[in-house]
Amino acid sequence: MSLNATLIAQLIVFLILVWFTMKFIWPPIMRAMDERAKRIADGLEAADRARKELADADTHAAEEIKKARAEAAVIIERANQQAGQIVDKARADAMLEAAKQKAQAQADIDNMAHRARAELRGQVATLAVQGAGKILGREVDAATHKALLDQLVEGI
Amino acid sequence: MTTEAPSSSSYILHHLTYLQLDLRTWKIVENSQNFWVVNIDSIFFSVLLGLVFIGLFWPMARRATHGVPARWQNFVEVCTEFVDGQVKDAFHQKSKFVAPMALLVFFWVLFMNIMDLLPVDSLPTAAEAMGIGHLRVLPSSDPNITLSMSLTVFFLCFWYSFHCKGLKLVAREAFFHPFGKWLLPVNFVLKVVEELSKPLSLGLRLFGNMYAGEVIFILLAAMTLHYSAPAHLAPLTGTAFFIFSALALVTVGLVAYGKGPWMRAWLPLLILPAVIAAGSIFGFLPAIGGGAYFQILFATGWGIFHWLIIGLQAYIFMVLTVAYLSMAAEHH
Repeated sequence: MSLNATLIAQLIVFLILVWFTMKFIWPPIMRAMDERAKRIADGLEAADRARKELADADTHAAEEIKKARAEAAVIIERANQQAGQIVDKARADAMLEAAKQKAQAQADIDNMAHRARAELRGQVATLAVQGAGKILGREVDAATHKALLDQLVEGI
Repeated sequence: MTTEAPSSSSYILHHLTYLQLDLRTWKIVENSQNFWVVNIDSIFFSVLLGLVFIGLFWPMARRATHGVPARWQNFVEVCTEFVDGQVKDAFHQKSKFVAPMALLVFFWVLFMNIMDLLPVDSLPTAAEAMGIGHLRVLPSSDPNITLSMSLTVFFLCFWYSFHCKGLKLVAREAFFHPFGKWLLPVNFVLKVVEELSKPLSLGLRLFGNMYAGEVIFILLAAMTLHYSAPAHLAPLTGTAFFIFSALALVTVGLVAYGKGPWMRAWLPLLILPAVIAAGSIFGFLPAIGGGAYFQILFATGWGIFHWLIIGLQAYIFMVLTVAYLSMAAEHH
């Protein structure tokens, strides 16, 4: 084992290679790895954020749906009430109208009956006199029996 | 391998001899004890493997996207993250150079150590065919390489402790630390020993482990020496191995940068094992002799176990580098 100038030559080669590695090999590789690590971290963070946002949106949507359902229930309730009211009113109107028409008809009937009775009353004396004349075979003077006739008429 | 049936000891020595260049005369020398000599083979493979590291990581670093990563980017990122985690565990200051240096040290040393798994005769035989007498392909079994790296770490620690703590604090720690001011010289001697032991142990640990592994591979090959090829076949097998190695490299390149399912999965699955097998048969074995099969068997067994050492030593070298720098920066 003898030491010689190889020592110096190798020293120079070593220093040059260290310098080269330090300058051109190590930094780009580390930079690429650090950048990738950063990008992955960013990506994970974004994913977390997105997941949180999604959960928020879900709760929000559920709340909105609940609210809308409650509102819809209120509207339906109100509509039902309104419908009931309308039906009730219609029924009441119809009954009122029916009662009115019935009263009208009753009035007409009464009127006509009254009129018929009045007419009958007018003619009953004559008819009674004629009838009595025919039965008796002679003229019956109406004036003589006026009181009797009136009583008859009153009877109708 | 040049003459028929060299003796085991000359075979082993041959494999442990560097290809050396004398810097004063610019001539190839052998076993020089002079300081101004460079082991060309060690430096060549060290630089080559450094370039392999850059070739694997740099294109990816340039194309790195923070979007969905492709497979290769994933691999690079896993490696980077692994090193970064180790550095963060051991080193608590902020520093721009410690983590990249740890990445480089880990992969560079790992690649160097992996060279040990190439069949011991493959590249040297190929080199011999090209007229190169000696070739040691494992830079981390050259103490010059490992001590050079650990000394660089030592100097960086030295500079870094002044940078982080200032002259006063460093001096106080060096002179007054374990025993107080009355044993000032003892303190200083202890400090010097402590600091010097770090680079020495760091460099020698790696060197020792890899050298031992290499020697075992060489010994396993030496056991099969008597079945070696006739001398006139050596260039042929060397060239064949060189071609197959080149094919393997091209395949790896296609896999790394190619497009489509064929390039990604099927091509390496089909071609790479075939190339490796063919390369092993032609280059690894000087000739198809009985002992060669034993060499395959033993070397494979040791190689599988050796993976453990290869990875472990690279990992230890990286972790200790980071730990020493951390110790240099922290207040005691």
